[in-house]
Amino acid sequence: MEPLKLIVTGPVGAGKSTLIRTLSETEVVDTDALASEAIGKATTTVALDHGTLRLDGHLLHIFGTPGQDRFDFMWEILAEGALGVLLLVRADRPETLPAARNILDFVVSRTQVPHVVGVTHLDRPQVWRPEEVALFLGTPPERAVGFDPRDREEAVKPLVRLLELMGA
Amino acid sequence: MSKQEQLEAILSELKGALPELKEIIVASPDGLPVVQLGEGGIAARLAAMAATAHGLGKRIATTTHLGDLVEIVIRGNQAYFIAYAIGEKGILGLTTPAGSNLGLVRLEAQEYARKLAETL
Amino acid sequence: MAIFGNLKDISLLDLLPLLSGQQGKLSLRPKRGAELLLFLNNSRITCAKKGEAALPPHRVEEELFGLLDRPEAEFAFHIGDRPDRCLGRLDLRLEELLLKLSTLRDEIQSVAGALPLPDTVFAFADPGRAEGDPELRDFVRLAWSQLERGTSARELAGLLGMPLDRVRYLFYKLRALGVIQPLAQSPRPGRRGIARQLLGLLKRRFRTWSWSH
Repeated sequence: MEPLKLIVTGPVGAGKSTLIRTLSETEVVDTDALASEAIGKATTTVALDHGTLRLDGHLLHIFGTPGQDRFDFMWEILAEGALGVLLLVRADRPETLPAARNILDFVVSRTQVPHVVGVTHLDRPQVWRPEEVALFLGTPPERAVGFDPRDREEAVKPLVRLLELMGA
Repeated sequence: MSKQEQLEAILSELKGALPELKEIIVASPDGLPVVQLGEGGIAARLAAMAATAHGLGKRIATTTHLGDLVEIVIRGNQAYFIAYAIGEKGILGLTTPAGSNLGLVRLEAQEYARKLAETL
Repeated sequence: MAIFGNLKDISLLDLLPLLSGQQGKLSLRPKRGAELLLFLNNSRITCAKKGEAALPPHRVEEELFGLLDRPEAEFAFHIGDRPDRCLGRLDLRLEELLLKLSTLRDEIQSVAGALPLPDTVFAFADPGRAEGDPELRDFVRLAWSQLERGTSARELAGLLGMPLDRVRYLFYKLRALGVIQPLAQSPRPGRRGIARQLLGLLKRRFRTWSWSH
């Protein structure tokens, strides 16, 4: 059976690695390196994260990309042939929205892969709602889903939305 | 001499020892260019790619029980890209034409990676 | 007297006003690329050469813009030197040029993090919207055939001989005006079946979550 690939991307600190750890049933392979910029955490993904989720006969490979745009070549390499791209964005960090839009533009204009936007950290006091994030990103509101990447039941929400839109 | 100048001096010395080298860069572990010597104007890209190749190489080495990663070699039909860890502090990446004496390049590059580790 | 040094220490914005009252030849030798020669007279650039070629005004701007951010480039001013031969005399006022270049640089820096990525592919959404701004209109005309089919800032910068960040900045403005938009690739066909199948499997697996939204 054709291997299926799902890409998780988004700016630094959006929760990409967290989502993959939540969804994966196998040990997650990561490629962390010490961060030399102030990005709010000690390490950052430099190549990819990888986990898997088995759904009956199908094995879904979940790949996380680096977040910084100097790694844009990895976005393209990983997205090639993928079922879909989940772009993660923090609802409480409007300063990361331009970077998120750059990633989405890059992926949309260079690959034939459909996308959804997963909006995280909606429990913070001041947040952009998913449809407001979609407006900034220039994507239809139904493509944005609020969810908590730490919770297993919640973590599948953006994937479900992607499949619904693809199957419609 | 500033740290930057010391690092540049070490790279110039390496270039002196191996004049056939085309690009020489030192990247931070997370893919930012620290110093570079070359003509292509591709340092920023090469630094990110060196970090990616090195990060992935380390993972492949552990997953397939190769022991610790020693080097990354990418061989094209016209040239090689070779990368070495500079301790935990960075990555030395260089390109050299296909006809180079690869044994010598490896020896020198590892030696210079050690020198860079003391300065970085 | 000699005025010489490196642009990494003395920026172009400090150097050019210094020379504006003088007549002579300014040589700029970047670490990479060919030497740029500017002939100054009476607060004007009267001739500019790169290699053997005389540069038209917009190319002079592009070259100087590329030298604004203190790159490594040796400079030397030779008082009294005149161009022996100059195809294409120029009359560029130094003060105006400097003001224009520094404004542009400030604008670019103010939106640096938001500039479109070099390899993102953009195409026309509504080219008519660039008509209001002469600079954008001219740029759109220059890049017309590329923007019709879709092009990246990197590709266009190479084709037009313009600094990459300048093209990214023009893309940024054109996008904000709705002149261009990222080219939307049509999704890979034939995946509806597998999407529906996976959706069913997911819904069975993750039962506890309410599926209405």
